[in-house]
Amino acid sequence: MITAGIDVGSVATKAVVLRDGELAGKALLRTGAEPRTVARRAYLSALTDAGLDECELPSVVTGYGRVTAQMGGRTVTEILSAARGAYAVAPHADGVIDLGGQDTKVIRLGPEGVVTDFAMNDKCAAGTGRFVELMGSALGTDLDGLGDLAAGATEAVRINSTCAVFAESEVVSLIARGVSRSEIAAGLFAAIASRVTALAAQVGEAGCYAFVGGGARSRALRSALEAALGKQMVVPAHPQYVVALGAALVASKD
Amino acid sequence: MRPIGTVRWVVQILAFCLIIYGGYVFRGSLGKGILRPLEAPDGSYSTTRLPRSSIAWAPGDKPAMDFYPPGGACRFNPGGGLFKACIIHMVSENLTWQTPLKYLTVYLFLFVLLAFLVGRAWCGWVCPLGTMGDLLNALRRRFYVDRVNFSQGFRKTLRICSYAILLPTLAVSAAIGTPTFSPYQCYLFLPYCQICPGRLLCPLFGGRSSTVADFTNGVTSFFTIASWIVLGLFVAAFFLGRRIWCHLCPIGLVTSWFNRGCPTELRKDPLKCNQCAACSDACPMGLDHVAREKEATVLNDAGCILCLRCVDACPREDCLSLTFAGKRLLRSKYEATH
Amino acid sequence: MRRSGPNDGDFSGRYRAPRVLVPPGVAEEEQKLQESVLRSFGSRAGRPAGLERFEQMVLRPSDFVGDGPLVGTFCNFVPEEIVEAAGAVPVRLCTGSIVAQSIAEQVLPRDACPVARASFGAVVGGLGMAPHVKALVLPAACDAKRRLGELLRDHVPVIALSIPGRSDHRTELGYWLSELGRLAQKLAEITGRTPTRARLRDAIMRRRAVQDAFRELERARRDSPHVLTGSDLAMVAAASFHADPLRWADACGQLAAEVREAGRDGPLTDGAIPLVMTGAPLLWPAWKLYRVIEEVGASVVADTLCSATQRLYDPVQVDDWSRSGMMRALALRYFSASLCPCFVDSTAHADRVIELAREWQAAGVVAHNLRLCQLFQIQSARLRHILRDEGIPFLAIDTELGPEDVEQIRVRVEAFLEMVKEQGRTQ
Repeated sequence: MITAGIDVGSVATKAVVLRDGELAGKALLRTGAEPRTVARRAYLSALTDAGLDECELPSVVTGYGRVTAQMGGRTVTEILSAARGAYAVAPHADGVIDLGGQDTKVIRLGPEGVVTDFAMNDKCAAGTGRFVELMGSALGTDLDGLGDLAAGATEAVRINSTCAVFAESEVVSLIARGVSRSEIAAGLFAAIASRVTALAAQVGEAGCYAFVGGGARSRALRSALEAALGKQMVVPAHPQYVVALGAALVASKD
Repeated sequence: MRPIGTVRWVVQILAFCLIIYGGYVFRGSLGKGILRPLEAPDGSYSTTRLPRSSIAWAPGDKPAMDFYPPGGACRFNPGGGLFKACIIHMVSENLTWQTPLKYLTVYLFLFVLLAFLVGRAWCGWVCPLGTMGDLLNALRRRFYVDRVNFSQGFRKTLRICSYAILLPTLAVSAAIGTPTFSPYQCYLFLPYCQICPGRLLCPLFGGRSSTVADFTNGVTSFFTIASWIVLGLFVAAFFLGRRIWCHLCPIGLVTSWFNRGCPTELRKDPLKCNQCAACSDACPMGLDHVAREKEATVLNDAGCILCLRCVDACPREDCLSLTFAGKRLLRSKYEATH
Repeated sequence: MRRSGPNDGDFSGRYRAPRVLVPPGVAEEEQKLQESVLRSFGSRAGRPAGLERFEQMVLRPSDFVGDGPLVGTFCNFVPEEIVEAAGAVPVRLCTGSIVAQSIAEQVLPRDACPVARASFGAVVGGLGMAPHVKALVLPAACDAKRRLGELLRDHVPVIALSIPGRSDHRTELGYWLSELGRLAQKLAEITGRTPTRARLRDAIMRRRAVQDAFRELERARRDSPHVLTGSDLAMVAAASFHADPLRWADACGQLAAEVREAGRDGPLTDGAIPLVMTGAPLLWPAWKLYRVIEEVGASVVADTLCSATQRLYDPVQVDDWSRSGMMRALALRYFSASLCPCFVDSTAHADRVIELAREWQAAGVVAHNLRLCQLFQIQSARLRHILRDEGIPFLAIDTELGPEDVEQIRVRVEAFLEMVKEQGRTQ
């Protein structure tokens, strides 16, 4: 059976084609201001990547822009999709951490990957891709660059601000005080990790977390999370596509 | 507006009539020959020879049955009343007479059985003194006179005083039965009855009166003054304070020992309770634990007379209920007034 | 509006409150807002006709308010019977209007409780029934309300009511009674009528009609569960803020009869997932949470909100009809029975949430928290753990009055429903 899943995120739109339970094709585009057209283009891109001609596969749309994308067919929330996708790629994980472009989610899973509780932070940017971008530009680099910086740090400076806007000015003043960029970068990752830990505490500790979303690509973030949570993190291959994969799995169950 | 309350009034009035006037109706005929009657040994005082001749006790009086329940079953009821006497009278009398325990066992057992089965429900539903008091309270409510509320500390003090009445009563009664002190029987026989308001009030319903004043000597004067004070307090307490008096009653005290663990239970579902304290406001004994309890489900308490006014007052469905041996008999529900 | 004297006992008049500029046309803006919120719920076939009367009561309160001098109240702590016994008509001025809130921004900080800002704005901006009140009774039940009194006293005489931190009737009853006595006296000074025993009795019996009618409606909803939505019930409750109690009770009784008639085959909410709502008041017209819940296929079947069920549910149980007995009954009903998080022990609140969830077989509990209120936020954080132990799914929505986070709310509610459906908790 072939299905498709489209995750219309606030920053990036991801599409996945699933063939007999295996990832057959994928595509990623920046959402920008046109979720409807981008969703369609991502879907077509993923089809091409899977070596298929243009056709209408059973598909499910998820993500922030799922209603605006108006692709017809069923929509589910990204929480459900993340749970499904994570359970498929990391069946022994009983928690999911999704650090996305503009929000962070922690999902607690029960037996068979059923969602038992979830917590989201989409009111403020702390921990999201937005936050990292902002901090990165304050330090003159990007997520990967931040990771390299943090890896070289001997200790992390404490970042107090929980708000991205205030954190930026805090970083600027730290630079002015002569604190090394490595320590600041390490401090930023520690701050993100502590925000995620607080969120995870709300839904109850899991034994093992699947780490998905754009943020999962960063080794530094992963280490910081593992240190803060004291738990193992499983990072699947293609972490950014796990939510779209989950949506495609939902489509295959319908 | 108060369904259980209405039934309770009916039961109280019926019980009152039965207990007060039962002597006239049944004239010693109930249960005759089943139980060995308790009588004074020769030379000893009995109620025919009280320290002060009590014309409330006429020679022809015959209580309907030989049984000694809790309060209000007064020996001085007209015609002798339905019951022989109340339990405290029986114990006091027989301590003085030094009656062998084997003759008392049956009566004590019957009393304990009653107390065990229904706890202090006797106080709330049957006791004629309580009924008289409730009528006084109704009079207060009729004229919208504010009631007096008493603190928990005060109630606890009354309970201690209750022990302070019961224990000396038993001690004195036993003492005057011994040869050393038997000369004092003429002054101290039935010490509790001498001050109990029942002795003064109960005969009035048969159109008689008991000896109100006896100033022959120091002891009788003491008891005379004491009985007036007690009567005055009784009337004031019931008129202004609902059932506060019942915290003092020594018979209530003895019955209250059986309240916990008795199969008649006042139960609560704590989940359904928002602690509105309507139950506490309605409680004539002024108990608070029904409102405050949030963990236990059985609310039997030494002070609770099981009048069930709390169950009537509680506006939550199935929050409070009366159960007997686990079987639910009555429950609280919302009563619409319109 | 009568101004308070220089020192009326509760507030010193030495410093004047800041002036507030009321932009022109706010009343019209407010009316438009309310009408648009009403429209956003859409129409549905088979909706009981009796609900229209309640809508009218909410949109045009002056047509339904009782006769006599009006006294405004904030919050559920003010015994309306005492206001009525003093010959006045109580109108509750709490609102969730963002139009009113924007007026308050001239004076109140951004980080003040949104309901406090909105209600303050309504009074100073002269919205709703606020311009017609002769006095305002303001319980100091929370931080925000404590600070509003001295800011409002220049607009309308304010009577502050002190609320202690514990709700244990054994120790606090005396204090509540002294506060109520003070309230009665102050109201009598304003209206010229003392709350006598007879007047209190009449007021209590009149208000019992409200609770009787609400219970009747509850019974009708239990028998016919698919006829009214959560927002319908909230509309019924919101109407009680201003409407004359007997007219309201009459309309409620008729609605109950209609709901019963409609029977079990109500086409509207059939299949709607039942939820229990708790938390901060969801005041008209800030009803986005009701709307989102209904749009995603659920409905609030029971709640502990002081803007809805908690306002109408508990009766005043009078044991003793003397004047002090009635005041005692009022104190117990308005303080001891309250589930407000301003009291230190919230066990009764958690019990009520659990009881409602079981009784109405709810799929889960949604807590509506106002982001800036610590009382509800902390209570909600504790409730999460309590409900987890009870095995009842819980969702906390932290929000304010404005519509800016509707989509974020929607994804949470949708995900919550997906979760409870998967767990098999739906009927």
